[in-house]
Amino acid sequence: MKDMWKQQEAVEPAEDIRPMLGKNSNLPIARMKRHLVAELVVVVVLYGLMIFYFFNSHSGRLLIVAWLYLLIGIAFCVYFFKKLRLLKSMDCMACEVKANLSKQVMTLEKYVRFYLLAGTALVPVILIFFYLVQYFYFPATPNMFFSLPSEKVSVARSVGELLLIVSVSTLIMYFVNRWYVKKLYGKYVNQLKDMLFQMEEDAGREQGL
Amino acid sequence: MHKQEEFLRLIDENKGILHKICSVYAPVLAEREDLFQEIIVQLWKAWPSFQGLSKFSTWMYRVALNTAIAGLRRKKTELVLMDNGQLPERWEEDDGRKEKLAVMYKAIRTLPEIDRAVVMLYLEDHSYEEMEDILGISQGALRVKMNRIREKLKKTIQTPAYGT
Repeated sequence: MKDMWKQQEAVEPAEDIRPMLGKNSNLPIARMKRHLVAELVVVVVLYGLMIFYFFNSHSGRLLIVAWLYLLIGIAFCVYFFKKLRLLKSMDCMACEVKANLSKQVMTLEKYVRFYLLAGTALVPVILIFFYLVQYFYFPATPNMFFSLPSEKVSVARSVGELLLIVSVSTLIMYFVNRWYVKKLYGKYVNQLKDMLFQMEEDAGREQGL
Repeated sequence: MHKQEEFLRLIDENKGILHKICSVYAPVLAEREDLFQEIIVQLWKAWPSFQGLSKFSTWMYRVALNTAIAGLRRKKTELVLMDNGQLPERWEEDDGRKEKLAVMYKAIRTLPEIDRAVVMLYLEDHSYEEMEDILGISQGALRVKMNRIREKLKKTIQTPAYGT
Protein backbone atom coordinates (compact mmCIF):
# COMPACT_ATOMS: atom_id res chain seq x y z
CA MET A 1 0.00 0.00 0.00
CA LYS A 2 2.81 2.38 0.85
CA ASP A 3 4.39 1.89 -2.56
CA MET A 4 1.11 2.55 -4.31
CA TRP A 5 0.50 5.62 -2.20
CA LYS A 6 3.94 7.05 -2.89
CA GLN A 7 3.74 6.35 -6.59
CA GLN A 8 0.81 8.66 -7.00
CA GLU A 9 1.89 11.54 -9.11
CA ALA A 10 -0.03 14.63 -8.38
CA VAL A 11 -0.80 16.20 -11.72
CA GLU A 12 -2.50 19.22 -10.37
CA PRO A 13 -3.99 22.03 -12.35
CA ALA A 14 -2.41 25.40 -11.68
CA GLU A 15 -5.25 26.48 -9.43
CA ASP A 16 -5.04 29.98 -8.08
CA ILE A 17 -5.25 29.86 -4.32
CA ARG A 18 -5.15 33.65 -3.89
CA PRO A 19 -8.93 34.23 -4.37
CA MET A 20 -9.65 31.56 -1.75
CA LEU A 21 -7.93 33.60 0.96
CA GLY A 22 -10.78 36.10 1.13
CA LYS A 23 -13.59 33.54 1.34
CA ASN A 24 -15.79 32.98 4.39
CA SER A 25 -15.42 29.79 6.34
CA ASN A 26 -18.25 27.25 6.17
CA LEU A 27 -17.25 25.42 9.31
CA PRO A 28 -20.04 25.00 11.90
CA ILE A 29 -18.43 27.42 14.36
CA ALA A 30 -18.05 30.15 11.72
CA ARG A 31 -21.71 29.69 10.73
CA MET A 32 -22.76 29.89 14.39
CA LYS A 33 -20.87 33.18 14.73
CA ARG A 34 -22.60 34.66 11.68
CA HIS A 35 -26.04 33.53 12.89
CA LEU A 36 -25.35 35.01 16.29
CA VAL A 37 -24.44 38.40 14.81
CA ALA A 38 -27.61 38.31 12.69
CA GLU A 39 -29.64 37.49 15.84
CA LEU A 40 -28.06 40.43 17.64
CA VAL A 41 -28.96 42.83 14.82
CA VAL A 42 -32.58 41.59 14.79
CA VAL A 43 -32.91 41.89 18.58
CA VAL A 44 -31.39 45.37 18.65
CA VAL A 45 -33.74 46.59 15.89
CA LEU A 46 -36.90 44.99 17.36
CA TYR A 47 -36.16 46.06 20.92
CA GLY A 48 -35.23 49.52 19.67
CA LEU A 49 -38.65 49.84 18.04
CA MET A 50 -40.48 48.56 21.13
CA ILE A 51 -38.55 50.85 23.46
CA PHE A 52 -39.32 53.80 21.19
CA TYR A 53 -43.01 52.84 21.11
CA PHE A 54 -43.40 52.50 24.88
CA PHE A 55 -41.45 55.68 25.56
CA ASN A 56 -43.69 57.69 23.27
CA SER A 57 -47.11 56.14 23.64
CA HIS A 58 -49.84 55.98 26.28
CA SER A 59 -48.87 59.49 27.47
CA GLY A 60 -45.84 58.11 29.21
CA ARG A 61 -47.84 55.74 31.41
CA LEU A 62 -45.91 52.77 30.15
CA LEU A 63 -42.45 54.27 30.59
CA ILE A 64 -41.66 51.48 33.03
CA VAL A 65 -42.23 48.90 30.27
CA ALA A 66 -39.87 50.85 28.02
CA TRP A 67 -37.24 50.76 30.76
CA LEU A 68 -37.78 47.04 31.21
CA TYR A 69 -37.23 46.42 27.51
CA LEU A 70 -34.14 48.59 27.63
CA LEU A 71 -32.75 46.60 30.55
CA ILE A 72 -33.57 43.29 28.87
CA GLY A 73 -32.04 44.61 25.65
CA ILE A 74 -28.82 45.43 27.48
CA ALA A 75 -28.88 42.00 29.14
CA PHE A 76 -29.32 40.43 25.68
CA CYS A 77 -26.28 42.32 24.41
CA VAL A 78 -24.21 41.01 27.33
CA TYR A 79 -25.59 37.52 26.65
CA PHE A 80 -24.69 37.72 22.95
CA PHE A 81 -21.17 38.99 23.61
CA LYS A 82 -20.60 36.22 26.11
CA LYS A 83 -21.80 33.67 23.53
CA LEU A 84 -19.56 35.24 20.88
CA ARG A 85 -16.59 35.05 23.24
CA LEU A 86 -17.31 31.36 23.85
CA LEU A 87 -17.51 30.73 20.11
CA LYS A 88 -14.22 32.53 19.50
CA SER A 89 -12.51 30.34 22.09
CA MET A 90 -14.07 27.16 20.77
CA ASP A 91 -11.40 25.94 18.43
CA CYS A 92 -7.66 25.91 18.04
CA MET A 93 -7.00 24.79 14.50
CA ALA A 94 -3.21 24.84 14.87
CA CYS A 95 -3.35 22.63 17.99
CA GLU A 96 -2.96 18.86 17.99
CA VAL A 97 -6.12 17.24 16.68
CA LYS A 98 -7.00 15.68 20.04
CA ALA A 99 -6.50 18.97 21.91
CA ASN A 100 -8.67 20.80 19.38
CA LEU A 101 -11.45 18.21 19.65
CA SER A 102 -11.38 18.33 23.48
CA LYS A 103 -11.55 22.12 23.43
CA GLN A 104 -14.47 22.09 21.03
CA VAL A 105 -16.45 19.58 23.06
CA MET A 106 -15.82 21.37 26.36
CA THR A 107 -16.60 24.85 25.05
CA LEU A 108 -19.64 23.75 23.06
CA GLU A 109 -21.11 22.10 26.16
CA LYS A 110 -20.48 25.32 28.11
CA TYR A 111 -22.12 27.29 25.30
CA VAL A 112 -25.19 25.05 25.32
CA ARG A 113 -25.52 25.24 29.13
CA PHE A 114 -25.28 29.02 29.04
CA TYR A 115 -27.89 29.23 26.28
CA LEU A 116 -30.24 26.97 28.25
CA LEU A 117 -29.77 28.88 31.52
CA ALA A 118 -30.19 32.35 30.02
CA GLY A 119 -33.17 31.37 27.90
CA THR A 120 -34.96 29.79 30.83
CA ALA A 121 -34.11 32.44 33.45
CA LEU A 122 -35.72 35.17 31.36
CA VAL A 123 -39.22 33.71 31.83
CA PRO A 124 -39.68 34.23 35.61
CA VAL A 125 -38.04 37.68 35.37
CA ILE A 126 -40.50 38.90 32.71
CA LEU A 127 -43.57 37.33 34.37
CA ILE A 128 -42.80 38.78 37.82
CA PHE A 129 -42.06 42.15 36.26
CA PHE A 130 -45.37 42.28 34.42
CA TYR A 131 -47.18 41.25 37.61
CA LEU A 132 -45.63 44.24 39.34
CA VAL A 133 -46.47 46.54 36.41
CA GLN A 134 -50.07 45.41 36.57
CA TYR A 135 -50.11 45.83 40.37
CA PHE A 136 -48.72 49.35 40.37
CA TYR A 137 -50.02 50.75 37.09
CA PHE A 138 -53.30 48.95 36.43
CA PRO A 139 -54.73 48.17 39.87
CA ALA A 140 -58.23 49.00 38.62
CA THR A 141 -58.15 45.97 36.29
CA PRO A 142 -57.22 43.25 38.76
CA ASN A 143 -57.81 40.38 36.31
CA MET A 144 -56.01 41.87 33.29
CA PHE A 145 -53.33 39.15 33.11
CA PHE A 146 -52.82 38.14 36.72
CA SER A 147 -55.23 37.87 39.64
CA LEU A 148 -54.19 40.80 41.78
CA PRO A 149 -55.07 40.95 45.49
CA SER A 150 -58.55 42.43 45.89
CA GLU A 151 -61.69 41.98 47.93
CA LYS A 152 -62.30 38.65 46.27
CA VAL A 153 -58.70 37.52 45.93
CA SER A 154 -56.41 37.27 48.93
CA VAL A 155 -52.71 38.18 48.76
CA ALA A 156 -51.75 34.57 49.39
CA ARG A 157 -53.93 33.37 46.52
CA SER A 158 -52.62 36.07 44.18
CA VAL A 159 -48.98 35.28 44.95
CA GLY A 160 -49.71 31.55 44.89
CA GLU A 161 -51.20 31.83 41.39
CA LEU A 162 -48.26 33.93 40.27
CA LEU A 163 -45.81 31.32 41.56
CA LEU A 164 -47.76 28.57 39.83
CA ILE A 165 -47.76 30.42 36.50
CA VAL A 166 -44.05 31.22 36.86
CA SER A 167 -43.12 27.61 37.75
CA VAL A 168 -45.14 26.02 34.97
CA SER A 169 -43.97 28.54 32.35
CA THR A 170 -40.35 28.21 33.41
CA LEU A 171 -40.54 24.44 33.30
CA ILE A 172 -42.15 24.46 29.85
CA MET A 173 -39.58 26.96 28.59
CA TYR A 174 -36.75 24.81 30.00
CA PHE A 175 -37.93 21.72 28.11
CA VAL A 176 -38.61 23.69 24.92
CA ASN A 177 -35.12 25.22 25.10
CA ARG A 178 -33.57 21.85 25.83
CA TRP A 179 -35.30 20.27 22.82
CA TYR A 180 -34.30 23.21 20.60
CA VAL A 181 -30.67 23.19 21.71
CA LYS A 182 -30.47 19.42 21.20
CA LYS A 183 -31.90 19.87 17.70
CA LEU A 184 -29.35 22.59 16.89
CA TYR A 185 -26.19 21.16 18.43
CA GLY A 186 -26.88 17.66 19.75
CA LYS A 187 -25.74 15.77 16.66
CA TYR A 188 -22.57 17.85 16.27
CA VAL A 189 -21.58 17.42 19.93
CA ASN A 190 -22.10 13.65 19.65
CA GLN A 191 -19.97 13.48 16.50
CA LEU A 192 -17.14 15.34 18.24
CA LYS A 193 -17.39 13.10 21.32
CA ASP A 194 -17.37 10.04 19.10
CA MET A 195 -14.14 11.19 17.45
CA LEU A 196 -12.58 11.96 20.82
CA PHE A 197 -13.50 8.44 21.91
CA GLN A 198 -11.80 7.06 18.76
CA MET A 199 -8.62 8.86 19.79
CA GLU A 200 -8.70 7.54 23.34
CA GLU A 201 -9.87 3.96 22.86
CA ASP A 202 -6.53 2.46 21.99
CA ALA A 203 -4.75 4.27 24.81
CA GLY A 204 -6.44 1.78 27.13
CA ARG A 205 -5.27 -1.19 25.04
CA GLU A 206 -1.75 0.19 24.96
CA GLN A 207 -1.73 0.15 28.74
CA GLY A 208 -3.02 -3.42 28.73
CA LEU A 209 -6.36 -2.48 30.28
CA MET B 1 2.17 41.23 1.11
CA HIS B 2 5.53 39.59 1.76
CA LYS B 3 3.85 37.29 4.31
CA GLN B 4 1.09 36.41 1.87
CA GLU B 5 3.64 35.56 -0.81
CA GLU B 6 5.53 33.34 1.60
CA PHE B 7 2.29 31.64 2.65
CA LEU B 8 1.31 31.02 -0.98
CA ARG B 9 4.74 29.65 -1.80
CA LEU B 10 4.65 27.19 1.11
CA ILE B 11 1.12 26.07 0.27
CA ASP B 12 2.08 25.57 -3.36
CA GLU B 13 4.99 23.36 -2.33
CA ASN B 14 2.70 21.25 -0.14
CA LYS B 15 -0.47 21.27 -2.21
CA GLY B 16 -0.17 17.58 -3.00
CA ILE B 17 -0.57 16.66 0.66
CA LEU B 18 -3.66 18.85 0.96
CA HIS B 19 -5.22 17.17 -2.07
CA LYS B 20 -4.53 13.74 -0.57
CA ILE B 21 -6.20 14.79 2.69
CA CYS B 22 -9.23 15.99 0.71
CA SER B 23 -9.37 12.71 -1.20
CA VAL B 24 -9.28 10.71 2.02
CA TYR B 25 -12.07 12.71 3.66
CA ALA B 26 -14.33 13.59 0.74
CA PRO B 27 -15.46 10.90 -1.68
CA VAL B 28 -17.20 13.24 -4.08
CA LEU B 29 -15.31 15.74 -6.25
CA ALA B 30 -17.49 18.72 -5.33
CA GLU B 31 -16.98 17.98 -1.62
CA ARG B 32 -13.23 17.67 -2.17
CA GLU B 33 -13.11 21.10 -3.76
CA ASP B 34 -15.13 22.58 -0.89
CA LEU B 35 -12.88 20.92 1.65
CA PHE B 36 -9.74 22.12 -0.16
CA GLN B 37 -11.02 25.68 -0.14
CA GLU B 38 -11.99 25.44 3.53
CA ILE B 39 -8.54 24.13 4.43
CA ILE B 40 -6.90 27.05 2.60
CA VAL B 41 -9.18 29.51 4.44
CA GLN B 42 -8.28 27.94 7.80
CA LEU B 43 -4.57 27.84 7.00
CA TRP B 44 -4.61 31.52 6.07
CA LYS B 45 -6.56 32.38 9.20
CA ALA B 46 -4.11 30.44 11.38
CA TRP B 47 -1.04 31.73 9.50
CA PRO B 48 -0.28 34.51 12.04
CA SER B 49 -0.06 31.81 14.73
CA PHE B 50 2.66 29.93 12.84
CA GLN B 51 5.83 31.16 14.42
CA GLY B 52 8.23 28.61 13.01
CA LEU B 53 8.46 26.72 16.32
CA SER B 54 7.40 23.53 14.56
CA LYS B 55 7.92 22.33 11.00
CA PHE B 56 5.62 23.96 8.49
CA SER B 57 4.33 20.54 7.42
CA THR B 58 3.42 19.61 11.03
CA TRP B 59 1.51 22.86 11.47
CA MET B 60 -0.16 22.42 8.09
CA TYR B 61 -1.21 18.84 8.83
CA ARG B 62 -2.76 19.91 12.14
CA VAL B 63 -4.83 22.68 10.58
CA ALA B 64 -5.84 20.57 7.57
CA LEU B 65 -6.80 17.52 9.64
CA ASN B 66 -8.63 19.63 12.22
CA THR B 67 -10.61 21.15 9.37
CA ALA B 68 -11.35 17.81 7.72
CA ILE B 69 -12.05 15.83 10.89
CA ALA B 70 -13.82 18.21 13.22
CA GLY B 71 -14.88 20.87 10.80
CA LEU B 72 -17.31 19.84 8.18
CA ARG B 73 -20.53 18.14 9.18
CA ARG B 74 -21.20 15.22 6.97
CA LYS B 75 -24.14 12.94 6.49
CA LYS B 76 -22.13 9.76 6.87
CA THR B 77 -24.51 7.21 5.36
CA GLU B 78 -25.20 9.31 2.28
CA LEU B 79 -21.52 9.84 1.59
CA VAL B 80 -20.58 6.18 1.96
CA LEU B 81 -23.27 5.24 -0.53
CA MET B 82 -22.07 7.88 -2.97
CA ASP B 83 -18.48 6.71 -2.81
CA ASN B 84 -17.89 4.88 -6.08
CA GLY B 85 -14.14 4.89 -5.53
CA GLN B 86 -13.77 7.96 -7.70
CA LEU B 87 -10.13 8.95 -7.94
CA PRO B 88 -9.12 12.54 -7.80
CA GLU B 89 -9.28 13.65 -11.41
CA ARG B 90 -5.98 15.35 -11.22
CA TRP B 91 -4.08 12.14 -10.65
CA GLU B 92 -3.26 10.19 -13.76
CA GLU B 93 -1.97 6.64 -13.50
CA ASP B 94 -1.83 3.72 -15.85
CA ASP B 95 -4.97 1.54 -15.82
CA GLY B 96 -3.80 -1.20 -13.47
CA ARG B 97 -2.53 1.08 -10.76
CA LYS B 98 -5.44 3.49 -11.12
CA GLU B 99 -7.91 0.78 -10.27
CA LYS B 100 -5.89 -0.42 -7.29
CA LEU B 101 -5.52 3.15 -6.07
CA ALA B 102 -9.29 3.66 -6.33
CA VAL B 103 -9.85 0.49 -4.30
CA MET B 104 -7.36 1.69 -1.69
CA TYR B 105 -9.00 5.11 -1.35
CA LYS B 106 -12.43 3.54 -1.11
CA ALA B 107 -11.22 1.19 1.60
CA ILE B 108 -9.58 4.02 3.55
CA ARG B 109 -12.79 6.01 3.42
CA THR B 110 -14.66 3.23 5.20
CA LEU B 111 -12.49 3.84 8.26
CA PRO B 112 -13.56 6.22 11.04
CA GLU B 113 -12.22 9.78 10.69
CA ILE B 114 -9.34 9.43 13.15
CA ASP B 115 -8.17 6.13 11.67
CA ARG B 116 -8.07 7.73 8.23
CA ALA B 117 -5.71 10.40 9.56
CA VAL B 118 -3.51 7.75 11.17
CA VAL B 119 -3.25 5.63 8.03
CA MET B 120 -2.65 8.64 5.83
CA LEU B 121 0.20 9.88 7.99
CA TYR B 122 1.60 6.35 8.05
CA LEU B 123 1.47 6.11 4.25
CA GLU B 124 3.19 9.49 4.03
CA ASP B 125 6.07 7.91 5.97
CA HIS B 126 5.74 9.97 9.10
CA SER B 127 7.35 8.56 12.21
CA TYR B 128 5.12 7.71 15.17
CA GLU B 129 6.72 10.64 16.96
CA GLU B 130 5.62 13.02 14.21
CA MET B 131 2.17 11.47 14.18
CA GLU B 132 1.93 12.00 17.93
CA ASP B 133 2.89 15.63 17.44
CA ILE B 134 0.14 16.14 14.88
CA LEU B 135 -2.67 14.07 16.35
CA GLY B 136 -1.97 14.18 20.09
CA ILE B 137 -2.25 10.38 20.40
CA SER B 138 0.57 8.58 22.20
CA GLN B 139 3.00 6.54 20.10
CA GLY B 140 2.00 3.29 21.78
CA ALA B 141 -1.67 3.88 21.06
CA LEU B 142 -0.80 4.77 17.47
CA ARG B 143 0.99 1.44 17.01
CA VAL B 144 -2.04 -0.41 18.38
CA LYS B 145 -4.30 1.58 16.08
CA MET B 146 -2.13 0.96 13.04
CA ASN B 147 -2.16 -2.83 13.63
CA ARG B 148 -5.91 -2.79 13.91
CA ILE B 149 -6.27 -0.60 10.82
CA ARG B 150 -4.03 -2.91 8.76
CA GLU B 151 -6.19 -5.90 9.62
CA LYS B 152 -9.36 -4.02 8.87
CA LEU B 153 -8.11 -2.73 5.51
CA LYS B 154 -6.93 -6.22 4.51
CA LYS B 155 -10.37 -7.63 5.22
CA THR B 156 -12.13 -4.72 3.47
CA ILE B 157 -10.04 -4.93 0.31
CA GLN B 158 -10.57 -8.69 0.11
CA THR B 159 -14.38 -8.47 0.10
CA PRO B 160 -16.13 -8.98 -3.28
CA ALA B 161 -17.65 -5.48 -3.16
CA TYR B 162 -14.16 -4.11 -3.69
CA GLY B 163 -13.62 -6.13 -6.83
CA THR B 164 -10.59 -8.07 -5.58
